[in-house]
Amino acid sequence: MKIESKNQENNILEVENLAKKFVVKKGKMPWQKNQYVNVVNGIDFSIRKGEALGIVGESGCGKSTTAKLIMDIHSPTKGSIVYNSQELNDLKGKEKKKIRKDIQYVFQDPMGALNPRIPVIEQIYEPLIIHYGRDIKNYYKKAVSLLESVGMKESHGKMYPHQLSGGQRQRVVLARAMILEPELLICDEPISALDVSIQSQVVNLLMKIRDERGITLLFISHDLSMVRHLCNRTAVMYMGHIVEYGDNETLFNNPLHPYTRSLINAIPVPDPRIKKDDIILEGEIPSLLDPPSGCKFHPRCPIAGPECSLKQPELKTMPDGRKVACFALKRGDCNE
Amino acid sequence: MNSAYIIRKIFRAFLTIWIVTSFVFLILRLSGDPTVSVLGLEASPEAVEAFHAKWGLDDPIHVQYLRFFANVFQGDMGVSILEGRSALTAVLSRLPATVSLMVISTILTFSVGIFFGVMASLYHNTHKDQIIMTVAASGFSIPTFVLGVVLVLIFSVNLGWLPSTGSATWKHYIMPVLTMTIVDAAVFARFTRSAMLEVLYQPYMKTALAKGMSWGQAVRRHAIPNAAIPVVTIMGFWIGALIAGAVIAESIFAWPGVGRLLVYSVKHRDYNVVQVIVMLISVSMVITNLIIDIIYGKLDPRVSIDRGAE
Amino acid sequence: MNNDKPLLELRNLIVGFNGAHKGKPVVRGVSLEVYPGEILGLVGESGSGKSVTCYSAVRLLGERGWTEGEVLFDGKDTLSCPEQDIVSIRGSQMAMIFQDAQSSLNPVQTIGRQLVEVLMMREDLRGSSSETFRKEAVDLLNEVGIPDPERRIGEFPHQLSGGQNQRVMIAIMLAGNPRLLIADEPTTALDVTIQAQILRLLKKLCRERQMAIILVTHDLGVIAESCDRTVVMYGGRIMESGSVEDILVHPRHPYTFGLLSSKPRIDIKVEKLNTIEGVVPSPENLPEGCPFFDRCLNVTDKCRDNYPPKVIEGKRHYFCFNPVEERSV
Repeated sequence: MKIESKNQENNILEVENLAKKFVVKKGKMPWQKNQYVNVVNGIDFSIRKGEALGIVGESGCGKSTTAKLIMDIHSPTKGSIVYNSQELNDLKGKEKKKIRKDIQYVFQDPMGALNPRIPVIEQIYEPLIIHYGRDIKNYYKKAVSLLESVGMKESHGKMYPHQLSGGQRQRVVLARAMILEPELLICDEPISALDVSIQSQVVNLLMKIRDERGITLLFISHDLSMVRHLCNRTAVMYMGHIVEYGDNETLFNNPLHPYTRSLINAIPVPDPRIKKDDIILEGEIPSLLDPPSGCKFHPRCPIAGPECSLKQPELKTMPDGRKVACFALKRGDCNE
Repeated sequence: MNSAYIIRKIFRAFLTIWIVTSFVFLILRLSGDPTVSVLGLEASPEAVEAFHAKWGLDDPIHVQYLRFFANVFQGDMGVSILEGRSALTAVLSRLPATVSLMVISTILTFSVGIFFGVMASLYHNTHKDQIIMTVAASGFSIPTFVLGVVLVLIFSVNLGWLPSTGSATWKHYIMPVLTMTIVDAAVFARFTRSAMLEVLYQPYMKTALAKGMSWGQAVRRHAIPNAAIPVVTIMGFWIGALIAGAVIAESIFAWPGVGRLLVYSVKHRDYNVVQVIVMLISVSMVITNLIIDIIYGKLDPRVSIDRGAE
Repeated sequence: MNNDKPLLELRNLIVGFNGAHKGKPVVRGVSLEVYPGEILGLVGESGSGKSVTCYSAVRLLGERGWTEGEVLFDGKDTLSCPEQDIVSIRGSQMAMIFQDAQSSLNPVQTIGRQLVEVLMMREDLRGSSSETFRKEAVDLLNEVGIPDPERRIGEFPHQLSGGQNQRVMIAIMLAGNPRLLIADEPTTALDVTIQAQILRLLKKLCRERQMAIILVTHDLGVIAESCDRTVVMYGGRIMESGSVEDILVHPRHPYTFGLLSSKPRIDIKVEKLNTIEGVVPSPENLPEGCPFFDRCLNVTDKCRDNYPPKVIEGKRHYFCFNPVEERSV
C-alpha cells in the first residue's frame, strides 16, 4: 500500500498521532476494569533522509517506547508509522522482514545485545545469513571491513563479548547493525552505559556513519548535550507528549517551551565562570498513573495560566519553523 | 484486605479441597475395597453381598461420588468401616497426639534451623560456617525413614535408652521429634543462610553502618527482618513436608496419631476415614498458606495482598 | 573556608581488594584534604578508585579490602583505631550517601523509623519522648525539602520517587549532625532537573551547617556547579587537584584536558569532539608509571615506567611530566 507523502520534504519516516497505552493492573474480577497508563500520547514527527533526529526527555517521558513502537517491539494503540510511503502497521510476513532489514537498532546495553558464547565476528555477519542464506567467506570479509570501519581490528573478531570493553562491545553492536546496510538506525541511549571518555568515541563514530554512508539516525537520549552535538533536529518529550520540536540551532539557542528551558538550564556546564539564572524546576514528574489534566507540565510550570489545566495544548508551528505545544506562547510570555 | 481478595481466596480453597478429595476418592475405589479386611478371606458370598449393599459399594462409581458429596455438604463425613464409629470422631480422637508432635517439631525446626543459618551467614567463609554447613548437608541428605530406623537401632535396640514405640512419657517424644526435625532444620539452616547472605550485601546494610550502627545492631535491625521474608515464604511449602514427616515418624514409632491412622486406613480401604484425613490436611494447608500470606504482607510492605483490586 | 585545619586528611592512602588480585592495589597513594564548609569534588571514570577511596575513609570496605597509609579525621587516625571508635564517629561525625538511594534504604521499614533510629543514637536527645523524635524527624525532612513530611514519615521507600529517596537518605545522614558528608555519585541515577535540586540542597546544607562535603561524580559539569575544589582521579591515582576554576578552565593534566574537550556542551556548539583513544585500564592491570600513558597525547618514554612527581603551582598541583600549556579550554 502506497501512501502519498504529506509534505515535499524528503521524509524517510513519518509518525502521526502515535499512541501507546499499557495495562498496569489487570482487573482480577470480571467487574473490575483494567488500569492503563498512556506512555505515548498521540505524537507526530518525521525524520528526513540523511539527518539525525534526537528525542530527549527525562525518565518516563515515553522516548524509549516511541523507539520500540517504530522497531515493532510494541504495537501501537493507535496512530500510523509510515516508512518510505509504506504503513508499517499493515505489513506482514515477507514485506515486514524486508523493511526490518532497512531499519536497524542499537540499545543501551551492548552486553545484553550480544550472545556471550559466540565470537563477535560471527555475530556481526549473522544477520546476513538470516536474510540472504549461507556464504560465510564473503560475509567474513564484509564483517572484518566493518569491524575496521568502527575502529577495531580483525583480531578482535575472534574474541567473545566479555573479553571486550564496554565501548568495544557497542562498536561491535554498531558493526552488526551496519552489515545489512540499513537506511535508518535507531539508537536508544547507546552511550549511557559508557564512560565519559568512551562516549565521544562512539558519538564520533555515529556521526561518521551518518556523514559517510548517508544513514539516517534516530537518537534517543537523556543527554541533551550529546543530542545537541550529534543531531540536526530534536524533539523534546514530557509525559508522553512532544512539547517542542525543531532544528537544533533554534531549539537550543532559544528554547521556547518552559520545560525545554528548564531542562536545558538544569544541565551542568563544566565551566565555573558561567553563572546561570538560578531557576531550578521545582517538584517532580507526576505519576503516569495519575497524570495532571490539561498540559501535563502545568503543575511545575512557572508561567502556567488558567487554561493550561483545562486543555492539552497542540504543537503549533512558530515563525522560525519549530513547533511548540504551549498556551503561554500565545500570550507572549516566552518570546525573547 | 478486601472482599474481592477474600472471595477469590475462598473460591480457590474450595477448588483445591474439591480436587484433592475427588482424586483420593477415585484412587481409593479404583484400587480395591474394604471387604476382605473386614470380613476376611473366607467370607460367604451372601455376607459379601450384604456388606456391599450396606455400604453402597455396588452402585456405579458416579452414584457413590454424588452420594459422598451430598453427605459431606450436610456435614456427614460417614462412618469408619473398620471401627464402626463416626469417621470424624475416629480422626479427631487421634489428633492431639499428632498436633503435639507437630508443634514441638515446628518450634525445634525453626529455632535450630534459623539460629544456625544466621550464625553460618555471619561467619561466612570461616570454619564455623563450613562446619555448620557440612552438618546441615549431611542432615538433609538422609531420608526421613532411614533416619528414624537408624535412631531406633542406636537408642532402643543397642543402647536401650529410649522406648521405640508408644507415646506415654516425654522419653517417647524424643526420637519421633528428632526424626521430624533433623532434616527440616538442616533445610532451614541452609535456606536462612542464603537469605541472610543475600541481605548482608545489600546497600542498606552499608547505610546502617554509615548511620553509626555497630555491625551487630545493623544485622539485628536491618538484615534479619529482610531475610525473614523469603524464609516465611518457604514455610508455606514446608507445611507439606511436616505432614509427610509426621506420617513417616508415626509409622516408624507406632505413634497413635492421625498419620498412622492414615496409613492403616489406606491399607484397609477405610474410605471415609481416609477422606476425612485428606480433607483435614487440605484445610490446614489452605489455612496455613493464608496465614503466611498475611504475615508476608506485614513483613514486606512492597507486596500488598490485595493487589489488583483497588 | 577560612579554616586552615583540615577536617579529613588522607595521607598516601593505598587500598586493595582481597581475592585474586590481592597484591594489586586499586587506589595507589592518594593524598587529599577536606576543610570544614567546603565541597570537594572527586571526579573520575569507572575504575579510577574514587569510590573506593571514600569507602576506605569511612572504613566501610570491611573485610573485602585492605588499606595502607593514613586517614586522619580531625587528627585521629580512623584506619588504625579500634572498631568501636570508628562506629562512634560514623553517623555523628561523618556520614555517607550513595548512588542508588532506593536500595540504600531498608525496604521494609518506614522512612520515619529509619530516621528516628539515628536520632535515638544522639547523646543530646537521649531519653526524649517519641513526640520529640517525631518532631525532629519531620524537621529534618522539611530541611531536605520533602513535601508533606507529616504524611511521608509513615511511608516506605518504594512509595517515593528516586529523588525523594535521595532526600530522605540525606535527612537520615543529617540526623546525627555530622561534620563531614561523603556523597558517592548521589545524582547519577536521577533525572537532570532532579539532579539540579539535589545539588542545590547539598550546597545549601554545606553553607548553613558549615559541613564539609566530598562529592564523588564522573560529571565535570556537576563539579563546576557545586564544588569549591576538585581532585581528578584516574587509574587509582590523583592526576591533578586545585580550585574548580583552575582545574576546569586551565587544566594542566592531559587527562583533564581530554575529558573536558571530549564532552559536548549544552551552551556552546562544538564542531568536532576530541576523543581520548583507547580504553580505561582495568584496576588489576595498572602500569608502574602514569596510568594514563597509553592514551595520552603528550606521552614520552619515561611516562610508562616512572610515576611523575608532584608539581605544585600556587594552590594547585598535578602529576605529569609534560603538562598541557597554560591556556583556556
